[in-house]
Order: sequence, then C-alpha cells, then structure tokens
Amino acid sequence: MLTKQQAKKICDKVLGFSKAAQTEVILTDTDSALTRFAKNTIIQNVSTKGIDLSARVTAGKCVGRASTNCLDDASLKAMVQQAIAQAKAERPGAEIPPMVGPRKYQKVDNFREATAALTPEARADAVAYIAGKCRAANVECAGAHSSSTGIMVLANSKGMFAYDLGTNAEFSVTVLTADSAGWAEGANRDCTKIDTQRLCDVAFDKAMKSRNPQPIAAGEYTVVLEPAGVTDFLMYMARGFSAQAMQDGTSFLTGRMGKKVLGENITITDDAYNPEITGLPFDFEGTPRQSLVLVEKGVPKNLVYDLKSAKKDKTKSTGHALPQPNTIGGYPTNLIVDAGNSSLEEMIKTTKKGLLVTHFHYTNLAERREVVLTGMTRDGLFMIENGEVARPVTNMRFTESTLRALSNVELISRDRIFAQAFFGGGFLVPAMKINKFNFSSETKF
Amino acid sequence: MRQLTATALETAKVLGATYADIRIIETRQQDISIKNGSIGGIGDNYDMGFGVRVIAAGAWGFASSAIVTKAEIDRVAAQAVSIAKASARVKAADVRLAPEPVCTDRWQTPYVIDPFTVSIEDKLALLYRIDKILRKDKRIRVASGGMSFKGEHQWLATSEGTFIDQKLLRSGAGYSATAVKDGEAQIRSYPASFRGQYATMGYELVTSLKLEDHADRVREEAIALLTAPQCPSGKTDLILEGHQLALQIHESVGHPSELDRVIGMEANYAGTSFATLEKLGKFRYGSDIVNLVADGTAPTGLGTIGYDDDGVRAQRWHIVKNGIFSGYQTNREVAHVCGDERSRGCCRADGWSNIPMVRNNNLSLMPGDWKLDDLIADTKKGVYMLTNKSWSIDQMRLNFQFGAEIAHEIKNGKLGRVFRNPTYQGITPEFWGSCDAICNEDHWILWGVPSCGKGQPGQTAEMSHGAAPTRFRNVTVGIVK
Repeated sequence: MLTKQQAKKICDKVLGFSKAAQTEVILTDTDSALTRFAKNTIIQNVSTKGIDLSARVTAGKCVGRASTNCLDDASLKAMVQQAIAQAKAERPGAEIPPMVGPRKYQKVDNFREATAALTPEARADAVAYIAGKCRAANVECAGAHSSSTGIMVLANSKGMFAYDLGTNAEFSVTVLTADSAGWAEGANRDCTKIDTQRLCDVAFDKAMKSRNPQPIAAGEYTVVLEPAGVTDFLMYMARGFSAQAMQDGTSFLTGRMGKKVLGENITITDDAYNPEITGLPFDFEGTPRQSLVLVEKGVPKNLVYDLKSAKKDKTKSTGHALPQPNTIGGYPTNLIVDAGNSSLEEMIKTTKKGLLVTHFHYTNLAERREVVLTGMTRDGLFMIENGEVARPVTNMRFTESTLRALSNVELISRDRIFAQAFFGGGFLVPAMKINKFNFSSETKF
Repeated sequence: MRQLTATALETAKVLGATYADIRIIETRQQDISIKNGSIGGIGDNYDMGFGVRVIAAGAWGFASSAIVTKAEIDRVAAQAVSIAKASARVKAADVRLAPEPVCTDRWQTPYVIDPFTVSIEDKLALLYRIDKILRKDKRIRVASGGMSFKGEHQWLATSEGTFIDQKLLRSGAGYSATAVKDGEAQIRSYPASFRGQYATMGYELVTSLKLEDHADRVREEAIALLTAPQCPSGKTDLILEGHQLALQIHESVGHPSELDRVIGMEANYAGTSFATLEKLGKFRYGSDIVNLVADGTAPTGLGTIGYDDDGVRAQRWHIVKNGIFSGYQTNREVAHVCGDERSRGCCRADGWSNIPMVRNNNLSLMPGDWKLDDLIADTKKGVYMLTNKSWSIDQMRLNFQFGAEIAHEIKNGKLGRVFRNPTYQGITPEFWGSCDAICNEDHWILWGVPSCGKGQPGQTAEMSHGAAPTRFRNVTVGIVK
C-alpha cells in the first residue's frame, strides 16, 4: 500500500509532466480479499492488489481524461499526453469551472487495523461456524466475507491535495432449506464490529421459520420492512437529489422543492461524518464534503452540487462531485434516514394484519416521476396476524411508488443499520412500518 | 510471456498446488460521450495485470496483482496457494475439473477497422452532428451520445500445458434523447438503450449503425411520449421487438441455465434457478417453436471468444430445443454435475483481477418464418413494445417484470397510438409457452449486453442475444402499481 508521501510524490510527478492549463490526478491503491461460500463449502477465495491512476486536464472549455495502472515515468507521461490529445480534439463545450485550490478537510478516521489484518484463515473460521451448523441440520448456507484496505488520493495543479486511508468489511449469509431461505448481512469499517456468528444465527433461524410457506394473494398490505428493504428506496431516490438532474428537468423533485413529497416523519440527510457511516471528507473535485439535510419532515430542502452545477445555479459546490467529466453532477453517497422511536417488535405488535419483509431482490425503477419501483421479496416473508408473526408466506413482487410508500410510514425504528444496496451504495437506515404497500404479483416459492 | 507464466505455475506446483493457471491481461479502453454538446465523459484507460488460480488441498485459491514482474508473480502464486489451503478448512469435497485436451493456440476477434486508429476528432464529429439533430427541438432537454472501444490481449497458461494467446476487440455506440415537460421526462434511444449497440467488431460497427439517419425519429418519438397515454393495464397479445426480447432471453433463459446458479453457488447474491437438474431433457420451457441456442462462436457476439478462461474452445449448443429444456451453461468445475463429460466453455472472468466463473454465453432465439408486417396484421388486439427500459426478475428467475421505452397499440392488425411507460409481467415457462410467432432472419439482430453483473466480488461480463420480433399471447401489461 502506498504511503501518503509516496502517493503525493507520484501525483506531483504526474502534475509535473502536464503542460495543460489545469491538471487533476486521482490515485487509488486497494488491497481486497473475499471468501465466498455455498453448499457449506468455500467455493472462491480471492485476494487482489489494484492500483489505478488517472489524470484530467482542461484547456479552456475542453477536457481530457486518461488512466493507467503502470506507475513508471513513461506510462505516466503517455497517460498525460493522451488526456491532452483528447482535449485538443474537442470543440469547446460548456464552461468548465476552475479547479479548487488547497482546502482543509475534517479529520475522519476510516482505517481499522483489524480489518486490514484480516486473514483468509480468520474468514474461513467464520464460515466454518455456519457451514457446520447447516451440515448438522441438513440444510445449506451461502455467503461472502470480505475486507478491503485502500487509499483515495486527489491532487491538482492548483495545489489541492486530499488523502484518505480506509478499510471496509462485510459479511453476508443466506441459509437455504428445501423450500425456504433466511438472510442476514453486516458491514462496518471495523471487522471486529461485525458479529458474524449472530448474523449466521439470524439467517439460520429465519430459514427455519420460513419453511413450508403458503401462497397469499397480491394486493395492498401493511408491511414491516427490515432496514435492508428501506435501502432500495434511497438508492433510487439518490440521483434525484442531484442539482444537475434538477437543471436537466429529470429529477423526481422537479417542481416539488419546498413542497411536501414524503411523510412528516421522514427526514433524510447526507452526512459523511456520522460516526456510524463515515465516508470520504472530500469529493472528486477536492471540495470538502458538506453535511446536508435533503428532506426535512417530508419536504425537500437541499440538493447536492458539484462545481459545474453550482456555477449554473450561482451557488457553491456542496462537495458531492463524482469523477469529472460526468453527466450526473453531484451525488449523495452517505444517505441517512432519521431514526424514529419504535422497534421491529413494536411494529409487529401493532400490526393486525400485515407482512414482515426481510429484504428485496433485483429492485428496479419502473417509473421516474413517482419513483415507482418493482422488485421481489426474498429470504423470509412472513404474515403478521394480530400482533404476531403468524406464518411464512411465498414471495411476492411489489410495484410501488417510493413517494407514496414514504408518505405512508406509520412507525420508524430507533435502531439503524449500515446497509449496502443490491448493486452497491451505503446508507444508514431504520426499519419501517408502511401502510398500503402494493404487491402486484405472486410466486409459488 | 511464457517465462512469466512459467514462474507462476512452477511456484504453485512447488508449494503444493495440484492445478494452477495464470492469466496475464493487457487492456486498452476508450470511452467518449457527449451530453448537450459538451463532453459528458471521456477516458483512455490502459490496464495490465495478472491473476493466478490454483487448486491446493482440493480447494480453490486466487490472487492477483497489477504489478507484472517475476518477483510479484512469484509472491502472488504463493499467496494463491496459501489462500487455497485456507479454503480447504471448509470443504465438502475436492474440486474436480472436467478433462480438457491440452492446447496451444492463438485467436483473435476478426475486424475491419481498428477503432483506436480512428481519430478522436472523427468520433466526436459524428457525435456532435447527432447532438445537433436531437436538440433541434427545445423540449429535448438531454441529448446524450457515446462510443466505447475495448481491446484485450490475454495470455492463459495452465499447469496442464495449455497456452492460449488471445486478442479480443469490441466496439459500441449509441445515443438517446430525453424530452421534458411539466415534470414528465421520456427517453428514446438508438440503436438500443443503455449506451447503444455493442459487438466484437472494429469501428465498422459504428458506421454500419447509420446513427445519424435515426436521430430525427428518436427526437420526435421522445417528444410524442410526453403526451402519449399510459400503456393500458390488462391482458393482451404482446409483440416484443428484438432489443427488448434480448433482455428477456438474458434474464429468463440465460441466467437460469448457468449451472453454478442451479446448484446454489450464487444463492447469497444473484439467486438460484428454477431450471433444476431433474428438468434437463424433459421440462417444457416454451412452445414448440422456441429454440434457444448458446453460441460462443457467433460472429460479432460479445461473448464470442476462441477459448474461455478454463482454456476450453468456444462451442454451440441448444439450451432449449423445440420448447424443451436441453442444456446448461457450464465450466470445467461444474460440468460433471449435469452429467457432461466436457465443459461448455462458459468460464470467464472480469479482467485479470477476478476469478473466472460460469457466465452467460451468447444466447439467441432462433428466427421463425414471419415478416413483421404480417405478424402485426395477424394480431387483432395487442401492443408492440420496443427498446428495454427497466428489468426485474426474482431469485429463481420465474416472476419477471420488464419495461420498454415505447409501445404501439395494435388494433385490428394495424399499429395505432403510442403508449408511454409500457410494462409487462409474467412467469418464465408460462411466458415462453405463450410464444406463437417469431419473425424471420431478416429481422434478426444480435444485441450486445455490455454490462451483465454477477458474483461476489461483483464482476461484469459481456455477451449478446439474437432475437427477431416475437409474439406472446395473453400477457399481463401496463403494471403501474
């Protein structure tokens, strides 16, 4: 892993090779490892060391970017020349904002030694527990245990230099019987904070309790969504918080800023400094990342900006830029839903008839304006009757507007988890009890 | 390269590996996109690295690195063996590979024009011209267009003696227009959504697409969708155009026939499959006219290769024959599970940094006899949906719900009104069982899918699906809630 000094030296070298008006360097160096298991056996066990370095150059209203994973001088020079050649080939486009100068960043400690030191043997031991338990019960488990350590470095010709060293760990497990499944997942920067044994037990118990599921009719139900299910809503709303999407007219918030679009009990922030979800203290233009209330008591209040979208709206970047150039603009990467004062147990207890949902599978956007999503329930769907989890039921497809769902939230849990979404992303989310949630079709499993 | 690969194989063997392979891969990728006349994304990426895969103590280990030196290869090979031994702590049985003849060969994608020799100026000039056409009307708020080119040079060496030197080349291009009014936004794309058409071809793909010729229509269709009625809800006959059908094939036939999924190796992430082992050779997957063929040799297919990452030669075989489920997609590790003596050659990894696994091959619905005009004329009441917009399918690959960019009403054998936000839903074998007419080869196109996700850690693979417009009877459409 490159040290901060080594990383800076490489960045300075690239900047020195460039004769462009402005040059920016992004450097990553990542060691990652993952143990994957299925059928009570480790089926994949991998370790990867990857370096990536890219340079963005601007000349007037033209921009070029090139990248390489070879750090010798010749490769770095070739990369810079490639980016410059691209910029020269372009017609002048929209105005490109000046790169930022040196900035001060809030100190965030994203590195945990235990995660960096996690061995394949330790990962195997965590898997051995659930594999043994499943073998004894004549059922099967599948899952993944991963860890990574990496640096993210930004520098530019205006003197900006930003560096972050971070770790991540994740454990997810599915237990399968002949006709049921259970699932649990934990993620943290510190692998010692993930109780893999507890997660295994949760998945195992859920699989056992969801055996012999019976079909029920599609339609509207009160649902108690465990936190992982709530994540899907955030993932598909996230892009709508981009000021760029608003400027394009493609955000679901178009014409709705300051108007109530979600329930009074829904407040959503983007905060890279929350101790439970710490993110990068800078964005991909080197702007310090701001904490922002995006939706307050159901009313959209703020949008996220990069330099370009901020210039258009005559405001300042909020520190949410993605690597430039891009078509998305700013993007909130650390979304947090305010906690409530309820619990999963209370949500179940107060439900006369409803469904307990573990999480969703393969959710996708069906309609943009109302953020209508469709997806499947998965790994444990239970009928709640008279305040108790009564019986397992077969999975169903939901098709529901996120705006409608988050306007019908009756209860929100105190406890929240850091949850990863189906195709990536990280959010701090509570469980929710939602009324009138629509299931559009059924399955037989 | 021979010397470098030998280092890995020798080190692994000395440390106790019973099988080892190394893939060294050098990649160049160029991406150019514009949005509303300005650069939306641009990049020229050079990447090189290697991955070493071993079996030791009967279990897999894999390690990779971007530093391609003899010393690093030595270190990484030793790490792979060490990881394999850790894997062996939790195993039910030793990994078993289907036999494969030792082979030394070179293979490369055929192409006419090397896309990296075409100037950026020329590529951009075409995109700027399209942008100008798309933005002739102010209701088009977002006009996007792009091209992507990727060249990959792979060297694969195995401890069994196989050595493959393979060069792959793929190109892609496309554009879209988004019309906006009063909070409503509607998109139309050409030649396909999600970045356009992709194929293992050179720059001749871009010229063959005649991109400018369709820009006026794309703009007008996007604008028309703003005021078009919502696709009505109910059951009706459905004709799917080739691109939408390609995604249908991908999700409801491709993934369920990946044998690693069937036996539970993807259970924690992408899911399993309803196409279980006892169904092979017996199960009615679709109507008699449904023939779905996997083909790693199909010209221009994104999954078209000489050899897969197990060193197995590309093949062609039926997944569904005359409506009956007839074959799986396999690699050397899982082939024996379905009784096959040899792998089907579907083992591919996302670059050098990932371990190979079973991936969708090119998989196509064989053409039928119908002309599109005749098929529409033969449909009394229905909808004709074009260009994929949204997709979702359950973890067993049974219950799906897809959306298209645009639909046309079919009334008494004629195309009528345009509908917006068209969706349809079904259960896989029932849906394919309702297929009663397939258009002929004049309408058949091999559509590229450049970003299929699978695995943990997540890997992206590319493949193509050939399809012609096809009719399905009595399908649920217009699911808006």
